[in-house]
Amino acid sequence: MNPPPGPIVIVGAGQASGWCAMTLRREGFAGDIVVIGDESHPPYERPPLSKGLLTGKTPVEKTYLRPADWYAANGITLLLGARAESIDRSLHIVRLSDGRVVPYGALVLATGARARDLRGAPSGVMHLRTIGDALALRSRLTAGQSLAVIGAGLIGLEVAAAARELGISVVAIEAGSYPMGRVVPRELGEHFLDVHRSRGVYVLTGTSVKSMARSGERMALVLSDGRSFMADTVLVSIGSVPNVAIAEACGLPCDDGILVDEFGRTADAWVWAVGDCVRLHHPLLGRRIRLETWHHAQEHAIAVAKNILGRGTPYAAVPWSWTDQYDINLQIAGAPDRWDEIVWRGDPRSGPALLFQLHEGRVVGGAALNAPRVMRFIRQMIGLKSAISRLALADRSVPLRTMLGDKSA
Amino acid sequence: MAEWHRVASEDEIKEGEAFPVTAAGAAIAVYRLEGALYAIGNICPHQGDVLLSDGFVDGDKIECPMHQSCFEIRTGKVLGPPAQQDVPAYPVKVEDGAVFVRV
Repeated sequence: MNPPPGPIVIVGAGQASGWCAMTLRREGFAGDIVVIGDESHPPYERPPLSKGLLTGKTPVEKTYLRPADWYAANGITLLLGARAESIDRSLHIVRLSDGRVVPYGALVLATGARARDLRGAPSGVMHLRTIGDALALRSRLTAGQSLAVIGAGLIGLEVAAAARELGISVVAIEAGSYPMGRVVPRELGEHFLDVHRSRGVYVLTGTSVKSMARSGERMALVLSDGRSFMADTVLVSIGSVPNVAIAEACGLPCDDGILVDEFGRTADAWVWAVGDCVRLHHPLLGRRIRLETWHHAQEHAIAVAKNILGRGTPYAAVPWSWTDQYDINLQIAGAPDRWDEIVWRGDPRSGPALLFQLHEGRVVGGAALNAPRVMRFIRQMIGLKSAISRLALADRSVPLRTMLGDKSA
Repeated sequence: MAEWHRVASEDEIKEGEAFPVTAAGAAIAVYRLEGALYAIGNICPHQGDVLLSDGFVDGDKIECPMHQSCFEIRTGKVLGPPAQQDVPAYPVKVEDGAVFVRV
């Protein structure tokens, strides 16, 4: 298929949007590219928002994929502070909330996700999704204050770690029986429970917020186990929901994510979707999945941009993400939904360690604590169809690359 | 004004390995490819806080250990995301078994 006539318009201005625009240009698309985003920032990376941006280590501009003026210099129009209101697929136009109309040849939906609301939460609770959210939260994190984090997932725990570094007292409330339950197995979640407790975070598991009310400048919380306490600041970090309203309203099939094929195409041949807002069939995992990671935002956007230009490359990257908490870098790969065995290599309490999730003898997931270098081998292992010796996996004297056969680097 | 700095002895630089050095305040890694020596900046420009020499030498490429940005060892040219800037390449010479880098 030939590249589309007319401008390529990207709705959303997050990391996936930025990579899509940059890749279209790099791969030789010479037409107009228009990026529509409702924030005031050019496309940026979100990982520092729950880490360096809170502690002040990372300045805002450092999160930008490219400086704001790079886009104009490369013929990419950034419509920032602009909200895409609706799409008319028969007229090939996007309508903005300020009345402007943006015509497209091909349309890319990069609408991202938003922080999930806690039902019944009073106004004044905070979320963390955007630079604006991070700066607002940072202004509340001054020494001597207290923070309640509702939801001990990746974001909640990263904020807890940053807050402890800033001298804040932190309570983390988790409905599950261990932290980060959506992305790590119990064995790893329980290790992080110990880590946070040893750093002075008061982590409560198996309980949830029954009620919450403003009490002067503070927030009073009552938990389902009857406990109650006050906090100066409350962060709700209970996951994200994809922004699909604009896609649904124009009749594109959605199911907790905009449905796309392995090339990133929606049900409309001229409309594509990338990144967090997408639900796709993942050939390696053999199921439909929505991925919410930095890696996916980058790799999916790059792959789909090439497909818009007719390359026809199916997207099948092994899922991969990481988190930094205190002095620990945890990298995880695979996103398995089932495993029947856990194998450790090393002990996380005494140094770098690896954890493997096996299903019927095959490695389906893996984690590396303070050992990011080995991730490339773990990701390759997850792509293998053959079984791997659990004895070798557990044996630190056996290099992982030797288990990958001839193709290893 | 760029000057030559002695950074290693020649036998310390091995094929398939990165050799991290500091010269005139710059973090640099020296590599040996098919016998010849090359020196490029050693800090990944993506976040600016990771040493490329902790990563993987993959043929004529070095891959960042943290987020897998990729650079050409001979030129410092960025080959793979997330990094988007090249790392600097420095002239290298060998005299009497000592490796010098011009910074």
